[in-house]
Amino acid sequence: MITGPTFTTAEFLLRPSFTALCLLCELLRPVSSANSSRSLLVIELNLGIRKMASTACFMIVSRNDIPIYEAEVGTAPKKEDAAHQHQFILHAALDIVQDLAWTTSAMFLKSIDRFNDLVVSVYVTAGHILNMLYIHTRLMLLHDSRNDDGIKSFFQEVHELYIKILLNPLYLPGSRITSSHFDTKVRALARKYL
Amino acid sequence: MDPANSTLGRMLLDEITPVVLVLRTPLVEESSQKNQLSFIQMLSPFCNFNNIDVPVRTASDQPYRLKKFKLRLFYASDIRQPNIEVAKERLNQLITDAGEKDLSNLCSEPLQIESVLNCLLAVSSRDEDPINKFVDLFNINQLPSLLNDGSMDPKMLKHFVLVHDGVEVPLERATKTLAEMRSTFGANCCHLLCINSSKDGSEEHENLWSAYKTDISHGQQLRCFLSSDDLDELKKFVQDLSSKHIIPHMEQKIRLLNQQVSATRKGFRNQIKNLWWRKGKEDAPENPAGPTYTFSSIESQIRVLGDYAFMLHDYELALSNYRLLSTDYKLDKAWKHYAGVQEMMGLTYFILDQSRKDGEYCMENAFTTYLKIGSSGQRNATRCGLWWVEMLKARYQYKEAASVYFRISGEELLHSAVMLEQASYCYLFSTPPMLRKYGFHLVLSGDLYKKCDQIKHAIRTYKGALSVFKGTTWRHIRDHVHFHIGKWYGFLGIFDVAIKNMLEVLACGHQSKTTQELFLKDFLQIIQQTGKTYEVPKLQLPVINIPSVKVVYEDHRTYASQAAIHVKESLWRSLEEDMIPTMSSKSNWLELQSKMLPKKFKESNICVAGEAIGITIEFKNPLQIPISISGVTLICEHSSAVSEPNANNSIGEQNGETSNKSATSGNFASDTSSFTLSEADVALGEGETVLVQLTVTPRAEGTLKIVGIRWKLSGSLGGFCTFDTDLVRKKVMKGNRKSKRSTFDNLKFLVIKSLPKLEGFIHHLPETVYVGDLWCISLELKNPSKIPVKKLKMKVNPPRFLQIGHKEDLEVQFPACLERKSSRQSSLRSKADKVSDGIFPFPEDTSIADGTPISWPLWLRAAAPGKISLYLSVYYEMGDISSVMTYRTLRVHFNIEVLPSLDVSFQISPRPSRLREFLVQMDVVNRSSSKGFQVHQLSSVGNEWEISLLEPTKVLPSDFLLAGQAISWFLKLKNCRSVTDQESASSLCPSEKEDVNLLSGSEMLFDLYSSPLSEFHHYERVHQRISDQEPFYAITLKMIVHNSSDDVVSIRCSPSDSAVNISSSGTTSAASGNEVGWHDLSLSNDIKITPDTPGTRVVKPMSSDTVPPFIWSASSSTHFTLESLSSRETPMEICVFSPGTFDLSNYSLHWSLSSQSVDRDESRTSSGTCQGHPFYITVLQQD
Repeated sequence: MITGPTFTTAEFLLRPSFTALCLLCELLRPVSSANSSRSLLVIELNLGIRKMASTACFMIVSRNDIPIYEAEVGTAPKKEDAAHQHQFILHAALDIVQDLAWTTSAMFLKSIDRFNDLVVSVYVTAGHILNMLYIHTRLMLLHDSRNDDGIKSFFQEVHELYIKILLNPLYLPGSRITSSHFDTKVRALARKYL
Repeated sequence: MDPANSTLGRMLLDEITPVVLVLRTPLVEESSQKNQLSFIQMLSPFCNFNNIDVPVRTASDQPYRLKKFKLRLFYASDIRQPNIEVAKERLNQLITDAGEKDLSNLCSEPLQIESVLNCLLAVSSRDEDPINKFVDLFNINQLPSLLNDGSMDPKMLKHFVLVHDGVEVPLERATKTLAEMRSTFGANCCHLLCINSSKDGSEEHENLWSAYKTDISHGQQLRCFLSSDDLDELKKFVQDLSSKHIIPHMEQKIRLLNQQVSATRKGFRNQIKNLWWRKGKEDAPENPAGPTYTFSSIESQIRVLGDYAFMLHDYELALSNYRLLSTDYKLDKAWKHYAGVQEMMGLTYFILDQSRKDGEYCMENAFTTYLKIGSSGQRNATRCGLWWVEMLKARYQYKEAASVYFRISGEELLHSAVMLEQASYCYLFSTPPMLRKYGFHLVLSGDLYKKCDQIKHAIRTYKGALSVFKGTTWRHIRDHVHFHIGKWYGFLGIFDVAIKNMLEVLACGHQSKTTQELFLKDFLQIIQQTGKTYEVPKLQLPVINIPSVKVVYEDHRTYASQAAIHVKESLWRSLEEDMIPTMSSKSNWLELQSKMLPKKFKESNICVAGEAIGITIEFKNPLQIPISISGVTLICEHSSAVSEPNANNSIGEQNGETSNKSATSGNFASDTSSFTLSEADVALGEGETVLVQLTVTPRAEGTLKIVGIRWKLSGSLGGFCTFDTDLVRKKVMKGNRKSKRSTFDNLKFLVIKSLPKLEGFIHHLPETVYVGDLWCISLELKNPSKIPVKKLKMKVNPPRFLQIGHKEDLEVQFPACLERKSSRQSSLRSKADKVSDGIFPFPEDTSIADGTPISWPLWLRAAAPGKISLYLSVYYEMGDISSVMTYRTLRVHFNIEVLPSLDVSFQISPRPSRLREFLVQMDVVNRSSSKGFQVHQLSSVGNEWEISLLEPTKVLPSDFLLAGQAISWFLKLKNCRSVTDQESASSLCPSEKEDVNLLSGSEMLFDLYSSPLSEFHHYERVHQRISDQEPFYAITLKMIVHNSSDDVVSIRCSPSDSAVNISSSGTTSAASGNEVGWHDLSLSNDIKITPDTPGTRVVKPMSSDTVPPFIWSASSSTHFTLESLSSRETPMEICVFSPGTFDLSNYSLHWSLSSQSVDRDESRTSSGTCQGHPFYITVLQQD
């Protein structure tokens, strides 16, 4: 199941802080001022990208194409006609998902459809592999950023949240997700990854 | 599929054909106009050859026969760079006119390089000096600028035609002129064309010209001077022109050019040279349009060669030349030319039907190149894209075609709208059909149409999209589509459809506030424009919560206040159980009246004429903006007579047939006399939910049905909703539900004659009282009707708080009435009066009528703190026996809040010195928040105790015990019962000693045996006893008995208490005789057979004086019959008093065959007994 290098827990925990430390050393090194200024520049650039306004619309579509959750998670100021435009694009993209989902076993289908500068990425839950399962859910994200890794992690974490919702005995699969907890979690994930 | 037969193939063969330039004198035109045709129009039907069959040779001398050929004729003035503005206008015009359009040809324009290879010069025979005219025509003529500026070859093939108008000029003159022409221009290229030889102009032909003359409607016959000979001649002329002149000329030219090209460009040497030469040009200043090529340049020659080859269907040759050319253009950065050649390559690939990928690559290349060169290439790009789309369509690649259409759509709005619409159709045709994409692109196209003021087209596309989006749960999409369709229909003035669509989006709680405002504003605007008030059946604003509908009506049960209505029916039932006549409340009077009332109405409710039926409905505003609702009323149907019992469908219809009068509110305003409706106006705030109370008051007897509810939104739009339809839907959805009395069954009423109805009020009711407060309140009963009511009875609950007083209590002074009198008479009397079950009958002669009220006192004592609900029910019978209802009940309910006051606790310790005396410490704490109390008196109830203060000093500093203060008294309690029990009667304490006055300065003592106090004291003690009782637990068990025999048996199960022990080993033999026929039924459900006579069990006999730790608390024995081979569960219950482990086997089972089986077979045992199986249960102590 696990591919790629495996780390022990300790190692894994250490890694990010380790790189951070390296970076710090790099910054604090007094000798090569040119070098440090460059890395400072890089950091600034990264921050600049983070701050840029982005558009993102996230939806969970249940079977029969019924949307059960929707959220505008972009940082761009909301436009009046954005909501329906996003729905239109995502809805139309379902046609593509339908075609693609049967040709691949991958769950994350990146950038399957686009409209102008908006791109649709989809995460198909395992329902389509075990087609006897009644939960065939698609997590759809409309975005304008190219951060594929972030989107993938976002999808994976939201999928976990969604599974938790499904495990709730009071939740009827295929019905609207009204949990405010879920909503705040999704928005937090969006801030983190997108 | 043969690409030549596809739409694109045919289009290519039609469009990429030689062009003939027509130069004519005005007189030629005039002659042809006699037939209402221009000269070109006259010729064009004959220019299309489907089977011309001309032998042609390729450049490499391969012979083949050309089958399909076409000439295109143009006037000199029409050959020019196409005017963009004109084309735009034409497109606009077309789209405005078009209901249905053939779009694919609409945007295509002549190819970039036209090959004008023939010039047809026509001079009328009427012209003076025709020879000079011919010369003039070609010299001074307004030759197209393209010919003059060098991009076209001016040396083209010329052909001279003398048009001879048969009517005006004699033939001899024409032939003479022809001879002259022949001598001047050469014999081959001169021709005489005779037209208009018919004299009367009545010649009729098939509609040859209909395809070429669009401005003439089809039915209209052309006045035609062309005889059939003329037509034949025209045909022959054109055929000769093409087969004898044009095609051979082209063939010749191809050979010539091919040789040239081979000489200069083919071969290794030439290629190297070419490359070198091109390289050198690189540093030349870049021309944005690319280099210009004259017709004589080698590039143009190659292009002409390719085009000619294409036209003569020699595609291989064309392709090779195009390929050669495209590299040249690319090196020259002549992008427009490059794209043009690429485009032609793509088309050639298509016609050849080989290498699809290459074809598509070429088209893609051409398309992107056109786009790259900016606005000048935009239109070329469009044309190229259209070719490309057709190519894809011909190969059923609709999905790809759609995306190309999407790419074609550029900045021009109308143009893009058309393209997007085409894209959507492509999505529809693709397999599998991509419906969502179809809908989306239709919507996109509709938006653009709207921007170009093509509202009808916009609506058409949106309606197409609606077929996809109908009923979608994607709410923003649904709202967008419906709202825009509605709005646009509103523009067009088709209001009913507009409103229908707008209604769909009204309940848009998920939209933003501004959107909601916009929706509502536009909607109301449309409504206002209609100038009418609309009534719509499913208005979603406000949302009506139909399951929330509550019906309140009064049959025999009447209510004094709103509060009484909301009390649970079961509570009232239990209160009234003993009061109302013994038969079940409903059947009682219905059975009496069963002859009068049809059976059908046993199900429906009864209400009394003149008494309002109330309905409570929840209105919810789903929006974030306030809305105003006015004129909310019920819709009711009333029929004045009781209709026949089999009518279970529409009452209204039935009544229409059977002359019974029926009235539906709103429809017949005249007949509203049979009932009156209340009207309510509601203002709903943002997201607010409001309960609306409506009433209908029937005025006449008959049946009344509440059908629905109507209201007006913002004063202009009426909405109504019926309750029944929803009921039906619900039933269908949930299947046949068993609950008989749903809300909706309650909407049908049988209205009976008006009856007296008691009204009840409580007077002097305090809102809040303190614990222990005693109040005298009075119940006032009033009957506004003439008919008296009598036989009044009353019951109150809970008795600990509320007691019914005596008539004279109303007059007495409170609290003086409670003062101790000298004798005990009063208390004794009150006890005698007391009715055991708590029902208080009013005096026999009580009769209330004509609005004169009677009052009755009630005592209220706040026994415990908290919010207390008090219930009171008055039963009364009608004075008038003939009425349908004989009795009614009045239910009164009110709440009081009881605040804590004094907390009293006692500590009693025996006095060591005296045997029969006790020391009592009484601690009193004031628990109230602000109020001070006086402690007045302490009394002992019962006759055995004497109480007195230990030291008669005044302990309290002030008279009042203030809030939060505590105080203690020390008292002496003495048992004055004498040592010998027998003389209890004489040893009663003197009554003075029972009470202690704790308040100095007041000598007044209260009599604890006086009327309300003693009753309250009684109930208080009952309450205390109940709450002090030791708890016990009931455990329910289940015994399963299975009859495995073939006969019906009857079973008796008798649980025995300790007294019924059939045990001890000695009695085994006696018992075993009967103990047959029982088998264990194992719990795991498979039947195990145990020996017929089970071993006798020893049940430990219990000593008779010990109380058993549990008892069988259900019925003493159960008796039932069991069918053969069937099982039955019998419930059993034990009550456990103390913890421990108990054996529950002390019951016995008896079985016997039922009587008829016994008769049949004597030899078998007919009965048997067995002891209970050991079953142990452990009861734990509760923590």
